[in-house]
Amino acid sequence: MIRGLYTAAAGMISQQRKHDVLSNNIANANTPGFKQDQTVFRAFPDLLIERINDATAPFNAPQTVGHLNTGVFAEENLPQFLQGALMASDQPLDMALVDADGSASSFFTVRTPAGEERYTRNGRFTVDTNGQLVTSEGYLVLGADKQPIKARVTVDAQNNVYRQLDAKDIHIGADGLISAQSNGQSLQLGQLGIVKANDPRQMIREGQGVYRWAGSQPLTATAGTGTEVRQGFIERSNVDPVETSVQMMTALRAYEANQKVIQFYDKSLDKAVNEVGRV
Amino acid sequence: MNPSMINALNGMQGLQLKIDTISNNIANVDTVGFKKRDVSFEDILTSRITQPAGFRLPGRYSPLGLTEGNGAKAALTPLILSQGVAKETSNPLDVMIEGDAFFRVAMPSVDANGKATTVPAYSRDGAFQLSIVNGRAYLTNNRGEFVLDTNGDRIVLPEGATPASLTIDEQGRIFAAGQDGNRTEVGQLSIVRISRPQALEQVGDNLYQFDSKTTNTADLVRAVDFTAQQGDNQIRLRQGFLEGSNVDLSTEMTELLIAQRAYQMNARAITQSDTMMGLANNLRA
Repeated sequence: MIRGLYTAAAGMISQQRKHDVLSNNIANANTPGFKQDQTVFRAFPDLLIERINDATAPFNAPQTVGHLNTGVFAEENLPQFLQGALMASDQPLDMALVDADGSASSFFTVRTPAGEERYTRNGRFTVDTNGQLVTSEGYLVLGADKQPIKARVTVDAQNNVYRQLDAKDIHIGADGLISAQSNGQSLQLGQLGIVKANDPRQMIREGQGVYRWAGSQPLTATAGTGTEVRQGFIERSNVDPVETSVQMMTALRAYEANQKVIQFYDKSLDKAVNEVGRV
Repeated sequence: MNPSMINALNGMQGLQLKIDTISNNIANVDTVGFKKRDVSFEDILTSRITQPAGFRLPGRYSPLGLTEGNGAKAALTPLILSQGVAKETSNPLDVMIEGDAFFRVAMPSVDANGKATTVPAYSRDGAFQLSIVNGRAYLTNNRGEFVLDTNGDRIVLPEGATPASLTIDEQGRIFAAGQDGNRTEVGQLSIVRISRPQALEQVGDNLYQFDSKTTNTADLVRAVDFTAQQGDNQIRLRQGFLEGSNVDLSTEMTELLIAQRAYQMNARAITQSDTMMGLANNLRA
């Protein structure tokens, strides 16, 4: 078959992948802490083309014509870890992380129901039935000691009965230190487990707002240096709707152009198969 | 189906819920003691196309594997408990709570055996009235449900008490002025703090109850101790005022516009992916 047919088909597939990523960005334009993906294309390895049946060339040294590239594929969907805009929500348990270098490389630590440690930028937290701090998916938010954070005070000596704290009484400092004022007492509830990734692109997005760390170096815990926690704020998605819409149109037209290429090859093959040598 | 379509479809469903919530908020912009709801989004479980080791080429930044999202969903619908606007009515039976607390009301219900009983419900609606039951005057809300006092009992007013003779102080104590000018204490309104207001669900008629998943309700409700109040979250009652809804129309309209435009963009993504599928179908006409 003609090589160009497969090249154009590869072009269509990669534009389809790009369009899928862009429509996912658009759907998540209002998700707090979402980082938009960007598709990176890469060309297939080049082929070296040699002349065959070349009478002028020595028989054991075929002449190369040059390089031929045979297509493109979507290599990776790279999240763009840039700081999103902050929105004031005045909810006492909404938190946003602000990185001093604008790189959005700090994360909250959470634990999934399966017991695994994951990371998130979505700081919209709430309190569950057991008085523990959880994300909007119900994943436990962990402190610096990797234990769940309890928004409650114990009442009796056996540590059995507890009274839940009002969300408005909880105060989170800029370094993640959680304290509460209740009944005239000042309580220390712990420190938020905030980690900083040296290369946030090694985070794999798993959905439900969480990321899995797949880098080689372990994550460093931060305690306020370069990362600030803002209580009462939410970090908006960093999706730019205008740019995404324009890129979607570009992907559609590139898809269409590749389709036209396939159609022209089809016409050529039609001639070769049906008309050449017709008696 | 085409992944683009699935992403846009999920996004649109979440946005539809947000628009429904906003329209409910706007419809209740004049309801006494109404607390609005917000909708929070979350992205859906991401699929990952595996890439064999040969894909690790120089210049690649992220780990092996191509992540494909599945759109977004509405994850949380929190109740927003900010204070509503104070409306002065000068009606002696109108009370407003300043701060994060609720009245307790006996809501009629049916118990397990089918007998009529009452269950505690919580409310911010302070538009009270006097209802005559068996010749005695009780303090009720404007649907006739009894307002409870700190002991959990109905509040009964002395003979001959008129609304104009009642005084309700900042701590919820009700005094009735008699013919001789002396004030007698009738009772104290039950004002409770709820530790986890997100466990409340609106059951209509301005009443809240705990949802069925919350079982430790006794831990979550505590009576306000007016003698030991300090700090920012002090509770005060104001007689002659009603608390308006905490819905701010300008905020809601802005949110509605954002949701509508996001809905439009998702619909455009569906149209475009439909065009792309049409192109693939017409490769060989």
